[in-house]
Amino acid sequence: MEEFVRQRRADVLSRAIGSLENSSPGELQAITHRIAGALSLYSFAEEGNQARAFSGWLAENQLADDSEITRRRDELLRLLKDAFIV
Amino acid sequence: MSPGWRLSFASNLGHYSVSSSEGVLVKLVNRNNLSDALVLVVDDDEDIRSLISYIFEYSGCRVLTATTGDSALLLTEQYEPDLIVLDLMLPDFSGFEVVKCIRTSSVVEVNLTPVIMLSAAPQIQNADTWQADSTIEYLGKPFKPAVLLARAAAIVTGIDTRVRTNV
Repeated sequence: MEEFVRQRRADVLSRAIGSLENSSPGELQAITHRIAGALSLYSFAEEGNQARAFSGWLAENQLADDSEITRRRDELLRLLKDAFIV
Repeated sequence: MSPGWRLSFASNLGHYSVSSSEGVLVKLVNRNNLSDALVLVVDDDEDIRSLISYIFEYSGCRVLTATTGDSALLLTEQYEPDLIVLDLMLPDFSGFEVVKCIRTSSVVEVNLTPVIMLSAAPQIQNADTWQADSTIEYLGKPFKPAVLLARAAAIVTGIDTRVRTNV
């Protein structure tokens, strides 16, 4: 099990980053919900928690400015890219 | 026979029960463990789907996969899985809508197929109206593979009792 996760977790993280970078503000809530589950299952606990928190924030703030959404998305992206480096 | 009769019998394909009240033949999967159980894994995320599939295949199960509620219904009716592991949020239907379709399917053998519903904990906690359905187990993401397997084993090995209480 650990080997299965270890072999794939870099690809999972890479796909999560790509999904975030390529999604519009309107798509972000569904995207972040989806990647949160995958990140958590592939041992990116903190990154998954942050993606889930962002998804929850988006659900509760559907009228938020695009600039604020983008700022929070970029924050999450930084976290994911840092995890990629580690 | 008087109303409410039930005839049960076993074959090499499994245990069966005929209920007069429902007028249906219900397959009772009476297993000692998960080995060789047929599990349908439904999730639109490839990474999650492949990991869950691996978890069950590693445990000796046969696995079918689906990415949408629609395909999950088709596979359920065609293959009659012993267990469905179902994401709450699918592209076309919610997991609850999928369960409702299974429970009312014209393929009566699948009506009581047990389900493990997966999603973020807050959504599951809000699913009050479905908590009474004893054939649905809820598991929040993230989950530990061992926990998923333990829940699955409990459901599959205990399905006899569960079905009897629901027929």
